[in-house]
Amino acid sequence: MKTKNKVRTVSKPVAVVDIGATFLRLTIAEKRAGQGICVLERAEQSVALGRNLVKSRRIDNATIEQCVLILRSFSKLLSEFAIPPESVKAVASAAVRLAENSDAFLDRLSIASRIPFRMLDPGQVGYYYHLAFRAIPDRKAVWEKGGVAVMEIGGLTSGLLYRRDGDILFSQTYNVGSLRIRQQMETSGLAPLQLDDMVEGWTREMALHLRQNIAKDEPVRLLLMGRELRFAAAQLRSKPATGPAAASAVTTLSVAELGRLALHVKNSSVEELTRSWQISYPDAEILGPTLCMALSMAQTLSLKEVFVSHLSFSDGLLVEAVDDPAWTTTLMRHVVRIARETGEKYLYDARHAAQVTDIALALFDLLRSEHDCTERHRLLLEVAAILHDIGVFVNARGHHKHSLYLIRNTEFIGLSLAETNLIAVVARYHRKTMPQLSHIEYAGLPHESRLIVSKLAAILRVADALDRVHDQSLGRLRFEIESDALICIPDRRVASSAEQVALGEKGDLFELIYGRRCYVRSPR
Amino acid sequence: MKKSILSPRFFNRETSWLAFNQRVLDAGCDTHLPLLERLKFLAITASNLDEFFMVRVGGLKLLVAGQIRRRDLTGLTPRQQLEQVTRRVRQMVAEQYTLYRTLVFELAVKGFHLPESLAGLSAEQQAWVARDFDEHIFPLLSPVALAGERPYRPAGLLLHCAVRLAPTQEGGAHRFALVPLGPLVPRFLRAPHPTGAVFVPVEQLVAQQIGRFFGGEQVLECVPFRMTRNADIELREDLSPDLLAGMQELLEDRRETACIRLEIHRSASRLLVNALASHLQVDLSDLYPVDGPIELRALLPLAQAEGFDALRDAPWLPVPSPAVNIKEPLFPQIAERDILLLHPYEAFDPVIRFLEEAADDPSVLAIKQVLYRTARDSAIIEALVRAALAGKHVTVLIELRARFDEARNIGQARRLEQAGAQVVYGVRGLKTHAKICLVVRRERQGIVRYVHFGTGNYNERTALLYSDVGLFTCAPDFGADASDFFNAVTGASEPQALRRLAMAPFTLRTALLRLITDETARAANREKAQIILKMNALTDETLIEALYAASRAGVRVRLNIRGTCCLRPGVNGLSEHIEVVSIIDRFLEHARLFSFYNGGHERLFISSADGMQRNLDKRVELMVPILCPVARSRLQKILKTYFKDTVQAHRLLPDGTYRRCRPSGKTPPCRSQRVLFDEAQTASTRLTQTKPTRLEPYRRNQPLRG
Repeated sequence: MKTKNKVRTVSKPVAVVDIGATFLRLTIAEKRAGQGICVLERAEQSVALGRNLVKSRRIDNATIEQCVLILRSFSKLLSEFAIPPESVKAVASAAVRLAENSDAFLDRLSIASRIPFRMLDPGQVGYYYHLAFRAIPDRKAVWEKGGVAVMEIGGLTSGLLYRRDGDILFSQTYNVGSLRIRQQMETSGLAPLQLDDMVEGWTREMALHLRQNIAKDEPVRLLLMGRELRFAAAQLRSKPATGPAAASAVTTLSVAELGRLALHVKNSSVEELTRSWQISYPDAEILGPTLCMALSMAQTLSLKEVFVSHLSFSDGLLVEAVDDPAWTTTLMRHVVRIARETGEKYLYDARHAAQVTDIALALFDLLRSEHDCTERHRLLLEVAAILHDIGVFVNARGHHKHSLYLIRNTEFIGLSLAETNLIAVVARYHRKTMPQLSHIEYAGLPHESRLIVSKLAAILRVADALDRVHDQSLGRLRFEIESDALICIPDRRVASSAEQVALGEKGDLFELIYGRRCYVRSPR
Repeated sequence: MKKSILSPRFFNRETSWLAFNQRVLDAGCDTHLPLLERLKFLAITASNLDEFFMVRVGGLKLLVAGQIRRRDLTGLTPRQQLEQVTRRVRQMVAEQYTLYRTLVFELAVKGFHLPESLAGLSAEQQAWVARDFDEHIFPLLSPVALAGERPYRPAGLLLHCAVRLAPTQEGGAHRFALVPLGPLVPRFLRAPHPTGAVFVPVEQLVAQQIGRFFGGEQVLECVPFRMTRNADIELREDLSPDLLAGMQELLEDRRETACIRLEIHRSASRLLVNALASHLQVDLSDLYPVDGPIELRALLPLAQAEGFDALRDAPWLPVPSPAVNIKEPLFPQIAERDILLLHPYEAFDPVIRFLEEAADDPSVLAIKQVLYRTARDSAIIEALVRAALAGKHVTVLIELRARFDEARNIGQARRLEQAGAQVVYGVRGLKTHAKICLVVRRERQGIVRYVHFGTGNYNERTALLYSDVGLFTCAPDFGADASDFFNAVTGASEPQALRRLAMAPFTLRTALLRLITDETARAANREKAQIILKMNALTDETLIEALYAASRAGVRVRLNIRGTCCLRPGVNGLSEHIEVVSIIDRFLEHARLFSFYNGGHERLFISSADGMQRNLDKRVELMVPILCPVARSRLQKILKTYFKDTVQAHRLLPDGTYRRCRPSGKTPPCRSQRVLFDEAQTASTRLTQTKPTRLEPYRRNQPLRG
């Protein structure tokens, strides 16, 4: 009994499992005072998931059972550290999402291993790459200053995000990956040396997006992430890219040497690569396309050198697993930042957006006991408030519907597609008709989400009405809640008739949901 | 110069091995050694030769039978090699028996009698051994007919007596029978002698008493013989879904494989020899008539016979390592600093204690261990079983294919499984030869991994005879690598890039070659460069070529290769900077130690791998850097000692022969094993002298230790 108490003073190890296009990976780690996250166990096995998907859009039974076997071998390691499988953070990334039978696949894995799997949306994958930076003990030093483009090349999708001073300004996922390219080459019978042409179209598009989303002439550093790139860096440097010292660092490669390596890989057969580098077959297959993409990106951005991060996606998962509470605030910061960047892209009225956001959040906080929503919903409301008017960029007429479309197609790093959709629908209801089931975007939501939409949109409509003329002339507002009324009290001037009318119109949903009419009282 | 370039770049592997065995035989001829030590060396050469026959000669025979003409490094076909080997072996066998007779004569003078026949025994002695035979041996014997409905298949390397019976009727055929002398039958019967003792070979008694088995029949002759079967049959893993079952089949098969050597006493009649040869399907070219007792390896226990200490060296018993305080638990000591052990000068106990403490320690979560060859009643296995029963997660990779230890390993694998350990029977297509043990422990500051790496097996018996190095460490990189290693060999993960260790068949070869080429580059750059390798065998072509290149660049290459060495040293323009020595002494040199000068920042390694292709490509092996300063200076000192030896060292000459080193007049002679033994003794004595300063009573709830 005594020893048990002693054991509890030590932080508990945590485990994360991630499934990529070519591998299934387990990482067990613990957080230590002064040392950060220490990896205790890593196990990785290659699976032909991506191969399956590019062929048939389904994960075949053999692959599913192979994954189950691998998970069983992982569970032995979990039991050594007394980690219950139910507590493992397990995610499936982009590759699985593309499978028609993804739900059945994850169900099978969860049932067989008792590890609860969840599927990540494209934006969330990028978020974990971003989160991985927090695994670097002295991250403030290099990667938290200035701008850096982070590119992750996966088997089926690739991600590009831009960070400046530690904040994410832009994040985008592309449906291009090493396996896809490989498959296209095979089906169209292209020679290995034509790989560059295949890749160039994509990287040009990515570079263009990047340039559109960052300040002109801003110098770009390219940080590459992904296991094939880590492997390549290890090949070019005598020391393997691992170990605690290496985890805090990156490998700097000149574009010229990356080019030489890419050429060598292109000219080698898969068999030669597996033999000479002792890598698995699936890995050898995608090494060439990955290197070519990285190289092409570097060339398109006219860089002389690139950086290969030793961090991986699972490092990001680990940061989340050991550091849960801190996570929410970081996430919020990034999502809000991206929302503002998006607003700027669509030439939004920043002051109006800020005013509406302030009012909306104040109301949200005031009504907490009534709406029973979470912090996460508060974040969604905040983003909806920032972006509610961006549809004006397309056309002022029916702009709420344009907002809906634009938001839906924006990637908010760390948020799921469902959450992004929720934001879009809330923003859509900032004006005109109230939510109704004849609206397809509303009707398509599950019941709980429809309730959330109504609760948040009701607040947003009131907030928008209170800055009807977009001049913030009402200043800060105070609110008083009475049993059947919400009294808004501006601190500068009496509300104009335009605001009164707008509130009368837009307060409809609020009255319906919260049972209170909205009034504006004169300031004292 | 011209001549050396024309001569082959390599030595033949088999010839080089035979030269090694010859060095051991030469040790048996060394008149400076006590008689029973010489007898021991003789027995070792015989045991070595048995294994050589089963594996190497067996392998060559299979190649010849399969008409495979692939040439070896020296350009010889399998048939040519086989002829060369056979010629050399016959010569060696003759020398073995000459030495045997010399030793018999000299031992008799000292009261240790090995009679040639029972005739030399007194009536009293005869009665003594006859009684012994009646009581203990006769019940164990049962003759079988040589031919019949169910023909008897003699087991390999088991001594038999072949019996020829007179025909039952005139003009009829002779009849033949065999008496197997099974493993329970003692090989020698000891009887008192006025000057000491007499050791009677059991086959002489069988021959004397043979009539009792064949009541009323006329026994014409009774002659001992032994056959050797080809053991170079590998498990066909693709045909055997269950490795455990496959191994058992292999053992059955080995009983049945072709006979590649038939040793029979010279006195056997042609009639008997022909009958045996045809029944056992032995080619007469594989017949080895011997003039003395068959199976000289049976002399090994005699060398330990009680009461003849004067005929032996005083034993060199292991002493406790000064680096380990036996009164304190081991884990905190390892946490303080790495511990390097040199066996058998220093006791193997800490390795067993490591496991025993882990088994009983509530903070220990998991124990992982690779076992290749274990002792019969292995304390290591006991500790693992106990740990598994105590609920620890015990993972053991037990190499079922460790040659000649298969049967024992199968039994131990079963025991461990029954105790609840996870047992892995090796890795498909590769033998797991790495010596590693990992203990995962939960401590106040988090998970800590303790690792033991070794150059020798986890076998407390051989640890008394083999000279090996072991390292305890809990450095995080080593622990993490150890975890990755076990995840790879147990199939939980594909091999990951390791931080500190190099692992065959993945990175060890490249790492070793890179270390060699780094030194070569330094030498080419006119920096000081030196490579020191101590291993049991060096036969890998690429490795040897890399060493040649290093020599040509000016690297000083010092090799301590106990056995086979295919590298030809001292040839101008090829290997003039390479020296090769081999040490044959009381302990079997077994440690694999590598050192690279590296511009003064010496890189030191211990390893489980020899410089052979099979180690680098077909086995799972480890190469472990030594980083802790204390361990490093110790290892450097050990390595230096080996190259100072002027007593038991043999230098390999460019022509392939070995010349025994002699002390030069100026420096006192240096026998490396003696030096290492003395150093261990001194360090240990110093320790025991400084230890007891006060008396410490045991209190309640205090663990009893020390």
